[in-house]
Parts: sequence; C-alpha cells; structure tokens
Amino acid sequence: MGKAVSKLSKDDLKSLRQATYFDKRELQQWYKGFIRDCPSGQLSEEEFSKVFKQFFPFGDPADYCHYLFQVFDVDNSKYIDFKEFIIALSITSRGSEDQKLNWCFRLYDHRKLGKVGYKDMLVVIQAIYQMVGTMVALPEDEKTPEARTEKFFRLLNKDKNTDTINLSDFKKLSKLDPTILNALNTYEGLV
Amino acid sequence: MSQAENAELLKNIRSSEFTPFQCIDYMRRYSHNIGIHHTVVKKLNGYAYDELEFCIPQFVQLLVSFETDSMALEDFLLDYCSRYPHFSLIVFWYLQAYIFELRNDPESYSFQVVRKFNNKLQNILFNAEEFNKKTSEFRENLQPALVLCGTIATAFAIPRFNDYALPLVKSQGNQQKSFVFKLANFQKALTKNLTLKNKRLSSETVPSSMSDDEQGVTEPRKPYEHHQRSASVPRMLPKKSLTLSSDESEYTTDEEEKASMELRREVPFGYWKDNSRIKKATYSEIEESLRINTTIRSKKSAQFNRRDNKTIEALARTDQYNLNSHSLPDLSKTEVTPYLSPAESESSLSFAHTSTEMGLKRNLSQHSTTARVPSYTELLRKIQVNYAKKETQFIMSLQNVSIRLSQVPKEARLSALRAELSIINETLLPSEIDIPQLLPITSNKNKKYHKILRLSINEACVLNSAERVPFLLLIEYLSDEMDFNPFTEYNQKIIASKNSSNDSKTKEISGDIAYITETIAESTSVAESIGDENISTEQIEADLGDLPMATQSTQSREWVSKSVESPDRISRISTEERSVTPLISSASDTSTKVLADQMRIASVMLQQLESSGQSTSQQFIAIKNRIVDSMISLQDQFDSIDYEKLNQLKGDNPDAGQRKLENDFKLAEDWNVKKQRIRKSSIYGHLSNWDLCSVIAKNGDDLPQEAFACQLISIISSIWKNKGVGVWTKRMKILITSANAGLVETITNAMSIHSIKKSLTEISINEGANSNGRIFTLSDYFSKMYGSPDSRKYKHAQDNFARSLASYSIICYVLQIKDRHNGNIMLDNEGHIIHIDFGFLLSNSPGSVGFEAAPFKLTTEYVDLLGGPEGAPYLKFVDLCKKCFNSLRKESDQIVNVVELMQKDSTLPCFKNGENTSVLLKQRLQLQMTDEESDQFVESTLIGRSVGSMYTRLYDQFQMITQGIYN
Repeated sequence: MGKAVSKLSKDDLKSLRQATYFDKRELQQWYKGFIRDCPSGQLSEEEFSKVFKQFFPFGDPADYCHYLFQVFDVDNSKYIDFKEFIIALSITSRGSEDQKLNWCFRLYDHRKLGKVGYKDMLVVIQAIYQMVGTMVALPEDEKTPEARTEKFFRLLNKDKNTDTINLSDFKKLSKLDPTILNALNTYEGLV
Repeated sequence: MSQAENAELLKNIRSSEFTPFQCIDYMRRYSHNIGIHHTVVKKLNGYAYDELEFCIPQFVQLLVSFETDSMALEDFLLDYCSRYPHFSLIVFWYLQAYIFELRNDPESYSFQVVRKFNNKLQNILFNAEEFNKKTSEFRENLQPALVLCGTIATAFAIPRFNDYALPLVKSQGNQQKSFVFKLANFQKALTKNLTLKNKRLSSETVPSSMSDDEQGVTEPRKPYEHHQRSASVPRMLPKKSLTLSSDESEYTTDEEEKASMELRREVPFGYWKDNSRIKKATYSEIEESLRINTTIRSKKSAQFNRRDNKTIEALARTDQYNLNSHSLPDLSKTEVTPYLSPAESESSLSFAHTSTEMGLKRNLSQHSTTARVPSYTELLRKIQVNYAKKETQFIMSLQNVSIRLSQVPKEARLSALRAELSIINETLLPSEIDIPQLLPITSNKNKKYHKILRLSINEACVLNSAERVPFLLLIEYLSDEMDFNPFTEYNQKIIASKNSSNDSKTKEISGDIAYITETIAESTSVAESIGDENISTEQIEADLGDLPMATQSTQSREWVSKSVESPDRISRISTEERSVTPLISSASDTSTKVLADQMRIASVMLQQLESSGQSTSQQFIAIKNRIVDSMISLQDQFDSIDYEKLNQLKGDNPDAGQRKLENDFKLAEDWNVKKQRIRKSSIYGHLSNWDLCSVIAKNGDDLPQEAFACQLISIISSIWKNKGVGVWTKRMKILITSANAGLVETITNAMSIHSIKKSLTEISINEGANSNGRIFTLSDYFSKMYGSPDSRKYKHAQDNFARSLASYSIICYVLQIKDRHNGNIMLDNEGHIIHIDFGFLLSNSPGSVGFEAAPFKLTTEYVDLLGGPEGAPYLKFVDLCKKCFNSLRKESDQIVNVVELMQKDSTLPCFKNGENTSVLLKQRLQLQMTDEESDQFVESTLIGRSVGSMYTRLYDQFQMITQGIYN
C-alpha cells in the first residue's frame, strides 16, 4: 500500500475483505474514490483538517482533528492510507456497538495507556466543543467541556482528581446515557 | 477566513432579518465552503413559498454557473420541486433555457450539472414510480466518509452533534463524481456482440440518432442544423441496441469498465463532421450509467432482474412505441422543442421515455398481484405527474402555435390562430391544469389551484410585431378548483384512469398502430395518385412524428405536405388548387374540429407555397389569395357566439369614427366589461367560480431578459414599498417556458401612449375638427377621460401619473432602460404610466443610434400634464424621485448583488459589458454621496438633464418617422 495504483492488489483485497465489512466490489469502488479524492494515496493531517474545516466552518476543528488523526493513523506514519481509512469507515458505518466503542475510546486514550484521566479526557472534549461551536444547543449540565467531563466521572462514581476511566468504564458510560448509543448508530444502513 | 468572520456570518444567517436574496448572495460568495452552503440552504426552508418561487432564476443560475462541491442547493431544489408542482415546472422550464445556451459546450461543468439535475427533475415531474425508489445512497466520497467517522467519535462528548452532521454527510455522500477510468482487460461475449451490433447500426444511420439519450438530455448536443426530417423508424433501431448495451454494462458489474472501453472503441467510426460531438455524448451517457453503478450497494441482484425485464420488453416493443408517440403524452419532448422542429422532437424522444415507463409499469403490475395497497405518497405522485404532463403538453402546444403562425402569411394569421386554438380546446381542455406564476394559488385558506376550462377563441388575436408572432390569449378558468389531495372524488378518478390505462395500454397501442399504418398507406396512395414517386419513406415517418394533437388533422396535413414537398412543384400546384375548393366548400355544416383541421391544412399549404420559391408568379398569387380568403371566411365560425345578441348588448350601431376608436381600444376595453361579455357567451359562464385571465404568448430569444428586467423592477418596487415611499409600479409577471418562448401577463385596462394619441388624433381629423392635423397631447387625453383639470377625478389621475412617473423615471435611469418610445409606454385607466418591453437595459441600447442620452424620459408634455414646472403635482413628482433614488441607494446591495449573480457567464444582451455591468450599475447609484448631495443630484442632474431633453425629442421624432409611432 501507500503507492497510488489504480486497483487494489489481490492480496490487499483479500486482507481487507477479512478486516472490514465491505465486499470485493465495494472495496474496489472505495479505493477508486479514495485515489480520486486523494491522488497521492496518503492523507496528511493538514488535508485531513481541511476537510473538517469545510464541513464545520463555524467552529474550529483543528485541535479535534489532531486527536482524531491519530485514531486513524494506526501505524503512526503521519499519513492516513487507504487501509487505515477503510477500516475506520467499516467500523463507524457497519461495525458492532462494541467495535465502535473500542474505536471511540482510542480517541480519548491518546497517550495509549489503556486508561484516561480527567485532564486527558478534558482536552479531547474541549477540542470537540471547539469544533461544534454554537451549532448544537446543549443541555444545562453539559454546557462546558469541564461540566461534560465531570459528569462522566460523576456517573461512574469516580473522583476526577485521582481516578481514571478504562475501556470497560467507557462502555458502562454508553449504557448509562442512551443518547450516546443513539449517536453511535446514526449512520446505520447509510453506507 | 477567520473564526470571527465565520461567527459573524452565522449570526447573520440566523438573524430573522436575513432575506432569501441574502441567502442567495451567501451561497454565491461562499460556494466553496460546504458547511456555510448547507447552513444557508437550511435557512431557505423557513421562507414562504412565494418568496422562493420569485428567486427561481437565481437558484438556477447559482446551480449552473457557480461551481461547488456542496450538494446542498441541488438537494434542496429537488426536494422543493417534489413538494411544489409549480416550483418544479418553473425550474424545469428555466433549465431548458440553460440547456439551450449550453448545447455547444457539453464538456463544461455547467452542462454536466444541468444534465444531471435535469434527469432527476424529469423523474420527479413525469415518472410516478421511479421517484418512489430510495434515492439517497452513499457513494465513494472520501470527504463525507471522513466526517462520518469523525462525528461518530464525538458521540460521547456531544451526542446531538450527529443529528446536526447527518444531513450534511448524507447529502455530500450522495454526490456523483466522475472518474477517469483506467480500463481492465476482461470481456464478456454478450457485451462484445452487442457493441458490435451497435457499431454496425450506428454507422448506418444519420448522426443525430446517436445522441438520443434515455432521458433526452444529451439532445442539445445535436447540432442545430439537423433540421432535416429524418426517418424515425431507422433512427430508433440503433438506440434500442445502445440502450440495451448500456443497461447490460450496468448489470455485468465487474466488467463494466470493459464494456465502456468497448463502446468507446466502437463509436469513432463515423465520417460525419458532427460525429465527434455525438461521440462525446455517447461516452458520457455510458459513463453516466457506469457512475451510477459505482454506488455501493450490497444487494443488487433483485434490481438486475428488473432491469433485464425492462430491457427485453423495451426491445420487443421499440417499433410500436415510437409510432405511438402521441397517445402517450411524453414530456421529455418539451425540452427539445426550442431548437428542433416539433416533428423531430416528438418522434425522437418518445421511445426512451415510454420504454422506461412501460418497463416499470410492467414491473408494477407484477407487484400488484401481491395486492399491495398504494401509499399516500404514491397516489399523490400520480396526481402530480398527471398535472405535470398535462401542463407541459399545454404549454408546448401554445409554443407550437407561435411557431406555426410565423410560417403563415400575415393576413391569414388570425384564422390560423383560431384554428390552432380550437384544436387545443378540442384535444386538451378542459383539464386539471393552470399556469404557474400567471395563475398562482390565490391566497385562499384552502390552497386550491385553478383549473383551465377553455381558450376563448374569438377573443384571441395576433399582435403586431416585427418578425415574431405574439398572440393575445384569453383563458377561461375556474378559480380555486383543484388540489392534489388523492382522496377527493375527482382525483380518485384520475388515479383510476391512470391505472386502467396501464392495463389497456397494449390494446391501445395495437389500435394506434393499425391506425397509423392505415394513414401511411393512405398518404402514400395519395402521393402516388398525384404522380410523384419520389416521396421517400423517410418523409412519411417524419411526418407521423409530427402528429399534431388531433389525429384526423395529421392525416390531412400529411397529405398536404406530401403533395407540396415533392420536387416538381409546378405540375402539382394545380392539384392543390383543386383540393382547396372541396375542403372549404364543405365547411359551413361541419363541426369546429373539422373546421380547425381544414384551417390548419390551408395554412400548411400556404406555408409550403411560400417556400416553393415561386412567390412572384401569377398563379402563385392567385392561389394564395384564394386560400387566404377562404381562411378569413372561416375564422369567425369557431366559437358559438350569438352575434345578434352580442350586438344588442353592445347597443346601437356606432358611427365610423367611433368604431375605429373601438378597434384601437381592442386591448383597452374595460376588463370587467370584457369579462362579463365573455362570460355571457361561455358555456361555462354559469359556474360560480368562473374567471378569465389574459396572457400574451410570445416567442423570441429576448424573453429571458424581459423576465429578468421585470424581476429587477419588482425587487426595486418592494424596496420602495418597504420604505413607504408612496410610489406606484406595475409588477409584471413573465413565465419562461423555454429558451425562446414564454407567457407574459397582460396589462388590462391600459393602452400605449402611441395608440392613445393616434386614435384621438385620427378621430378628430375624421370629425373635421382638426384640419391641420395637430397631434393630441396627454393633457388632452386626461381631460377627455377625467374631465376638467379641477375635478377630483382628474386630480386623482394626475396624482397617479406623478407617483408612477417618479418610480419609472428612477428605474429607467438606474437600470438604463432604453428604447423608450411611446409604443413601449402605457397608460392605464387610472392615469398610471407603465413601461413595457425591456429589450434594452443595463448595458445594451438599440442600434448605434446615439439618441436617448437623457437619464430618463421626461418630456415637456409630462411636465405640462403635471401642472407645469411650478405645479404642485410636478413638485410632488420631483420629491418622489428624490425619495426613490435615495432609498434605492440605501438598499443598493439588493439589486447590485442580483445583477452580479446573473451576469456571470450570461449570454443575455443586457450583460454585454460582462462583469462591468454591475460595476456601472453601482456607479449610477452614486453611493459616495450624502443624502443632501443625492437629492441635489436627482434634481439638477437627473431631472434637469431629462426634462425636455433634445435627445428624447429626437428619439421620438425618429420613431415617428421610421416606425410611425406617435410622439
């Protein structure tokens, strides 16, 4: 991978068919689309960030994109290639709830420790709030990133100053707040 | 763009003051930002329908001329079109005008956008079943896919953000982008065979046949010159195979690229000069089908069977369909009309449409065996489609009338017009149609639509014009009569009839074929009997495509054209002569329909005679006169009007001078009086919601500009209304129905200053009261109409004159409306002045004649009518001019922005100066001035230079001398 060729090789196809929920034809189509929209075959953080700026011009997505980019960039090559992209798309659009939760957790676990402290979580949530700006009306106890983060710790009966949240806590949270589960399934059946 | 700027934008967009025109302006300025685009478009949904309908020209211009990756506007327009039948038709007609303009540039972004959009819109308009399919699919677009992933990851922090992002992602994900294909080397025998066959067939046929796209959208690529009546049957064959192969390529999914490569390789075998263009058309058609196919669909197989079915069926029936073109109102033809003869358009496009329709219907009937109850939306769609089909058919027939009239000599036009209109009455009316824009939904609570009953034949008249033949049309209708509720009794009947016609269609078709074959046989035999063996089958087929609405007339018309078209004309002119006599002698005791048919035959004969190149010979003139005479003798027999009764209503016989005046006042007859008169003579007159409207059907390429001028005037008029300036402007409505045709609202109770002066002067000369031929002034007219200058009536009219003169003066200056002779200026019966005819504005002016240098027309006669330069009405006029100009300056953005938007890539003559047009407009508004300076400017520069301008006088004198228009 990495080089822009017109079609996926047999080996790539085979491994991606196993790694994603897409069939052979869909993979080829998405590959064509990926190369068309990103001819180098490698998407930099800057280009990545530009896309979000295009879609959400009324907020500032730069910080958020920084964290999100790392979730995509599994091999830490500073570029997103097709494989990384299609796996992320597969999980977010067709994956199971569990897969989606695992994927989301990696966003908060940006220090890759397997657990997330209050501050680690806060910076990500701040970045998200910055991107969303005033586009969405927020409930009273979620008005600020701080309030939102504290709410998570409170729901889990944890002390924000000492405790951390691990993957299973994270999954617990999604059960506690049905709007989160709903949001995770927004694109069900779309792709 | 900085964060702060964007936040400001959002604040503006969310403001309740934000107007639709500001939305349009934002969409233009931020066309490259998907997020802003979507936010603005979302705002559009909050406006009233009328506001958005008014902006249709701007929406279409935005869509076509401003490149963007955002799908927001397109999605919004399609959604709005599917909800509002009037909206969809107006958009559709505007698009046809663009297609016409872009026909020579099929590779351009604009053309591609128009083509795709038009395809989707046609599905909404004319295809009840197709539209119900789920259309939203996520294609392989990287950007929305990344955003999708990114928003999922926000689910924990802000769950609701996904609700916000979903429509964006969905809309952008659905975008069809083109690929540059690299071809694989794999091939199926089937595809090969088909393409080979295709190649063979394509090399046999005329080039125009290749461009018949399934939806007819690539039609515009067909060179304009291809006017020859080519044979329709042979033309259909290659298309059949083309359709099949493209369908096949779609279904052999993995091999699609191969198929396309095959097709590409095959096509370049032509020798025709125009072939390259057509090849391109074919390419992109194939590409299109491939692109559609690139959609990610997991379960496709079911659809394949369906498509297969359709194709086979289409194959089996091709020949039948194209002959049957008239019985299935096929509306894809509308779009071709502007640049093709009706003959060609009807025959060439019917197949594609019908086949799809039939294929789907067949499918539907298969489904229906499982007893599925149609949903509300499906029923609604049926009624909407029924409406759209009938409406476009009606408008098309009116356009065709114009075209036919222009081919008939002047003296026979009225007769021909009445004949044509009565055919429309017979074949199309009454029907569940109205006229968008001109007959809008009235502000009734129940939101009902009007329904057209019939055209008033005897009131219709041909209007004077240099080359084209506009005609005045009075339309009887029932106000607030129809709606789109599928459960009313009336609409249930429509649905039922649609359903049953599906079942009986096969029978119908075979019946029609039998009939048509008969016709062919007949016409051939006639032709033979005339002794001309040179008539090719080509001609016969083409003329069948040219079926007018009434089948009988085809038969006879066919017969006539056949006899005239052949090469040795002289020998047969005598034959024609013989044929006219029996036709017309039998007229007195036959029905309207037969009359109409005969009239049409006669006009076709005239037309053929005219083009035979013998217009000077004695024989020719004799024949022509004879035909014209008999046409004129027939013209009053169309409507059953009781003339004696009518004369009683009119009162005693007026003297000669009076009658002359009456004739000149034909258009100015008091509207209510006229309405009552027509109502009394109408068979529908007793219905309580009977009403009448008056429109002018026009053709000519300047109509889009006229419509734009009227729109600008309406915008300006709204500014003054909102500011409470207290001036009066007529808001005229023009409905564009193609690149060069449309319907114009008639100004009732008004006549041109030219006519007023002419008739008053002539009457007085006839009465012997005006021996030295003094031309009457407007003051004379006002005295005659409203009595003494001291009377209240007179003063009221004078005030109206001042209020309207002020607004039109400023409008004429700001928009640089030229060609302001008295034929283009009207007075209504309340004293208002109304400007019409906007062939010259913004940057173009008539010819190279350097007249009309004054800012606007302000003759000494106007000043006199306003009581002289010191008179109170005149001072009021001056004051109003100042207010008008100043308030316009304050809102200058509104008009400047619209002009800026519309001038891009425009071919309208008023944008001759290109991007400079809006710059100059801005300059004229003198934005740098203070209020005081602006008032001063109006008084000394505008009014000062206009009053009694030598240029104005010269222009009027020029018009008097060259055109006989009274000054």
